[in-house]
Amino acid sequence: MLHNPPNNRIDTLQSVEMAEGVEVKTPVAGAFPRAMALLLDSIFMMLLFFAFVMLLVFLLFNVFHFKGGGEVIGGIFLITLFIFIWFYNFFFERGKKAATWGKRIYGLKVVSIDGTRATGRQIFVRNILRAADYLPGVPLYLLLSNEDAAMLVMATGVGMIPVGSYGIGLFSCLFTKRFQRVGDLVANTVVIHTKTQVHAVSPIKAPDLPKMPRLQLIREEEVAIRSFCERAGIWSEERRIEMAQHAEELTQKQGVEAVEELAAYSRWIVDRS
Amino acid sequence: MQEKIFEEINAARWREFDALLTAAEKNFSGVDLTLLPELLQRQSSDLALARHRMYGANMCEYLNDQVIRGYKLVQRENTGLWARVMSFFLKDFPRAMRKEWRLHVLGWLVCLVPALLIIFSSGPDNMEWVNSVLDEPSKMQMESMYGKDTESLKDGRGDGGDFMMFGFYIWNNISIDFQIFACGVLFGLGSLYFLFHNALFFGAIIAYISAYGAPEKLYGFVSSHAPPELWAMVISGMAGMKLGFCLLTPGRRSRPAALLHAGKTAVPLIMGAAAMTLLAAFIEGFWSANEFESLGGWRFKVWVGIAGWIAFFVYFMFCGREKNLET
Repeated sequence: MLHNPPNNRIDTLQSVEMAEGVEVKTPVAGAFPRAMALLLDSIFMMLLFFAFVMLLVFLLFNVFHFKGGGEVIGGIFLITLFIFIWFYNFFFERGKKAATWGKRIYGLKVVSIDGTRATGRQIFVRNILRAADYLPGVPLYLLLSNEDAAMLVMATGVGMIPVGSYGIGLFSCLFTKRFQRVGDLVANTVVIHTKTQVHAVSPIKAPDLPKMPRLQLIREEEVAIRSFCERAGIWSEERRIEMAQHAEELTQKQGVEAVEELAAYSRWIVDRS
Repeated sequence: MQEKIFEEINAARWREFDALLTAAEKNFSGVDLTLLPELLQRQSSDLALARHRMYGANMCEYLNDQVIRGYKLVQRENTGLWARVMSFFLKDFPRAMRKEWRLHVLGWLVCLVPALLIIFSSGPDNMEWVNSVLDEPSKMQMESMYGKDTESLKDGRGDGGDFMMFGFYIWNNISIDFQIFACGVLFGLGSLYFLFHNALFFGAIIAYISAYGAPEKLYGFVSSHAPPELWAMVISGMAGMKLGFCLLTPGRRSRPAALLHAGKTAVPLIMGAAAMTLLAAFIEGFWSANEFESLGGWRFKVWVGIAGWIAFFVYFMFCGREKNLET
């Protein structure tokens, strides 16, 4: 009766079997919230970078009374740039929340594929591979049409900052079951929603008599009928009927009767176990 | 069994487990964890039962959540940072290098063949290849650094200048390593392209300076930091190709699984390459720009460079060969 075998279906809940023998489900996050988080992170990273450099320079000259030229500032600037470009994500994803600021705003975090905390190595890999995921992209200086401006950013060293479209990352997210970009595939990580969703529960009145379904049902179909009846009170009468009629092949009923039929099946399923 | 009864029977144990988890997540070492594995196992079987009996979604998700939290604690890494760093440099990195010797050879070939071809095919009256690789601004820059009339750097660049170039080499060179590695995931093409391109460029510079400039200035400057820097570039390429080629020939694995497997070898390689480039940045920033007149000038630095090549060769060949029972 089921048209789509469970293994090939696209679902935001992906199950992983663990050593203890039980399956856990992780709510993987799709490309849109991740893209928005990425956008926010680019802004945060820039702000944090400039704040950090300014703080360092202030400390150096005003607190430690360093007597030296601007070249030292240049060196500090470049090393800080290196650390921020490659390790901003690493630092925050390795941290307690397992998420950068942008990801936290969108309620996301990075975990290993079995839902456990990702190791330092995994986070390192997924973030170094941004250099492949961000393609097609170019270094900053190629984006500047003005030649003088391009020369200036090259001379200060910021010209090599990568500016990319994340085309390959998006492509990879769209074609993998767990929405993983290439970095996630190599590191064996996924980005998931942090909040466990609490489902509103509002069952409809249980029928007096259970009824055995006409056809043999697989477990997933039984679960679907159970959760339909558990939540049916949330929806209007018309919506309930509309949804119940999707199972017409099974119930061979129309209208309100279809809903009642499903409720009777649900009762049968519960009583049986 | 009805859902309510199931919950009544087990709720006390779930609460106990929850309290243990919360305490252990706050302060791992201060909590008695002897009960954790057993409780996790029982929690897992509760989850399996609840799923099988199709109890409500909220109970299943509560248990699902708890099992994940417990699993996290049980699977925690607990080795010290220092021990891991030491074991990486003394074992993992050189072992990965020996294991991937085929890619190592391939990486050097991709670098050496174009570089040597361009060096030996060019002379003062035959600069066609060099001209097609180097544009005028880069030639001018080379001229200003290694030209016949250029004052070569004697005692560094001044304190600030040395530090600034150190910063520049860290940012630029390690970024290039990471890029060579990451772009390798595109079926190895990215790594091959960057290695080939850089090798052509280096070859052209050597050929150009040999013909028109003062080669001893060039060799004097680059030879001390060349071993870690060039070798690290090749290693980044190896790591990238390791990722990319497994997509071409995944063997009996699926492509995502093959990628995951290749990552396990590629990661020590790229981490080692980054460390070597960091070392190269130190040498290039604070050492290479000094003249060492009393020790023999540029010849001394070339000898240091040769010693560097030998040291890295010995390190990759022999380090971490002893068997140890822990692993």
